[in-house]
Amino acid sequence: MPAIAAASHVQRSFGSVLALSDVTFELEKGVTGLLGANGAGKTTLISLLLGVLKPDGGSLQVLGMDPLQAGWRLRQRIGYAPEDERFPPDVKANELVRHFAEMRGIPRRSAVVRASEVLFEVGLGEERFRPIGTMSTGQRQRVKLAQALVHDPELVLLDEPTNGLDPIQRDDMLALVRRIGTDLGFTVLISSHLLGEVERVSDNVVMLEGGRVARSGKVSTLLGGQTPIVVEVVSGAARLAGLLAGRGYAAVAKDDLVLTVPSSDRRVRDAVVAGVIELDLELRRLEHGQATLSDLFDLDAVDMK
Amino acid sequence: MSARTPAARPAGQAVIADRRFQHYEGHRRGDMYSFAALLWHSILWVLGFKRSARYKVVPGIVIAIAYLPSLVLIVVAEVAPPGTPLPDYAGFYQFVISAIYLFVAITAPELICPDRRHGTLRMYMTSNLNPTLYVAAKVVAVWSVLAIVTVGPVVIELAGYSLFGHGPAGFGDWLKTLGEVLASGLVLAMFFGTVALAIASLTDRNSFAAAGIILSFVLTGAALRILQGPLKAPDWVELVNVTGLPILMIDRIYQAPTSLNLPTWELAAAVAGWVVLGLGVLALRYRGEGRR
Repeated sequence: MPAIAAASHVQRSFGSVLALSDVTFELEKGVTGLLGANGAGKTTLISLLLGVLKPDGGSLQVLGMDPLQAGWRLRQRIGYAPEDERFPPDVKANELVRHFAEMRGIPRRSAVVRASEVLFEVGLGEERFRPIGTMSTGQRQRVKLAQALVHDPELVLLDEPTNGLDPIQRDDMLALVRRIGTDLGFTVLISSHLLGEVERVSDNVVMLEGGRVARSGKVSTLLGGQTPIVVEVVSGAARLAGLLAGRGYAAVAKDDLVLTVPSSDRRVRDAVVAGVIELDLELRRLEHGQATLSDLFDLDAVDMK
Repeated sequence: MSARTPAARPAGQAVIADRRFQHYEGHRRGDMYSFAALLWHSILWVLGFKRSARYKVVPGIVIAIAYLPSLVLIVVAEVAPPGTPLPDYAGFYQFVISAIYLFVAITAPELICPDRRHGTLRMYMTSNLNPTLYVAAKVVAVWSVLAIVTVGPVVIELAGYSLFGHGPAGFGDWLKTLGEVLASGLVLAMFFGTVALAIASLTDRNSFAAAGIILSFVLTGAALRILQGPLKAPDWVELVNVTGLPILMIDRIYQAPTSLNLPTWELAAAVAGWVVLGLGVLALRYRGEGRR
């Protein structure tokens, strides 16, 4: 199956700041998480996919087209929800969504019907007749999502859709994103700096770090069914990590209490136990835990040091 | 993808229609459709349609002020005996020019400043539109909205005069006068609309833009009065008078007597030059919005 979007050695700078460097990845159907800390280049990459930014180098293909050449023929097949607020506060939600459906080529009569349908689908019933300025942050995020879906795009780009939401609203939004990717069959690229939330809703991930792709692929493949060794001590986890690293074992101490070693090998476990004894640490827990994307990111950070 | 086909059912049996989200399988229109949709949306927006009452009040009052003199003139035309001299079409604008300035200062900023201030402009650039189509829609919108106060009242005046026996003699003259009325109104709308939109494009605050527009009109008018009065400047300085130039052009369209010793083509070229300059400012201001 051809990729929905593909980037090959894409580069983009803003003045002397290198925003993206040698970015290569393929976007497949389903929900893909675009992960990275603030400033990692997520919004820049989304802008490149939309064709509103021009890459300094490399090539991009979205839905089989070059975003810079295709113009509106591509843009009307993409749905985009920006990170920040970009709508006038005195416009009613249904009017705004209808208007942006027309801006993406949906005839007026269909746009009116679809605006109501999609607002209902994202959980805005009677609220859809309210001005956006009177809505809560969560409702405004849903309006943003609705205008990105109203024209039935083949690719939906969501830039930090959980920004500003409280934990309950965040869970609701993530469930909604998951549902539009599965039940409604949209291909979604969701950007976030929160690893846990992306892991929950994504089939695939692209991890950006300092403008580079640190890892990409299916979440299940990346995690690979690993059961890393988790060591909890009263104190001295950092010293243990140093000792293990000196012996060739990658280990991440999140603080001075807990250490993660990404291996289920018995010899590695023996080395950990030997290290605990050697450093005379007080052991609280030693077990095989479930790997998370957060573990992968931490390990990459260690690798780059 | 998930289009649903109704299953065969006995006649008269009720069904529950699924009104939930469905994938769109209809026709998708191109960039010109979105241009027209934005144009129409902008006209309604600036007049306050589908917005709260406070956005309707000011345009409504200004439009009423612009139409009032023509309605009064119609009443006068009805009661005045035949042959009574009535204000001509060129002279009509002296009654409403202040309302036109005010309308320009309100409408032009409202058409473009909120899009930039709220970030909606960037959203338009991710739709079927590009900077050229966006600016074109806004320019045509400001011309259309201004035509409500520059063309409409004079057309009504012409209709009223004609109805009560003070209009042009004969159908040919009537058509010629109608042409002059439309041309004059459109010159005013295009000139003031483009210049004001260019000024408004320099800021994202409506109030700053409105102040800039009013100040431009007031200051150039005042400066020209000083230049032509005590300083005895030549006639050509009128060509840079954004307040008076279109009025002088209207006098030429109606072939009204004037003391200005400038050929009509120079006036027309100056009006066109200002419009092109305004469009150039808009093009420069928005050229980087589509792709950076």
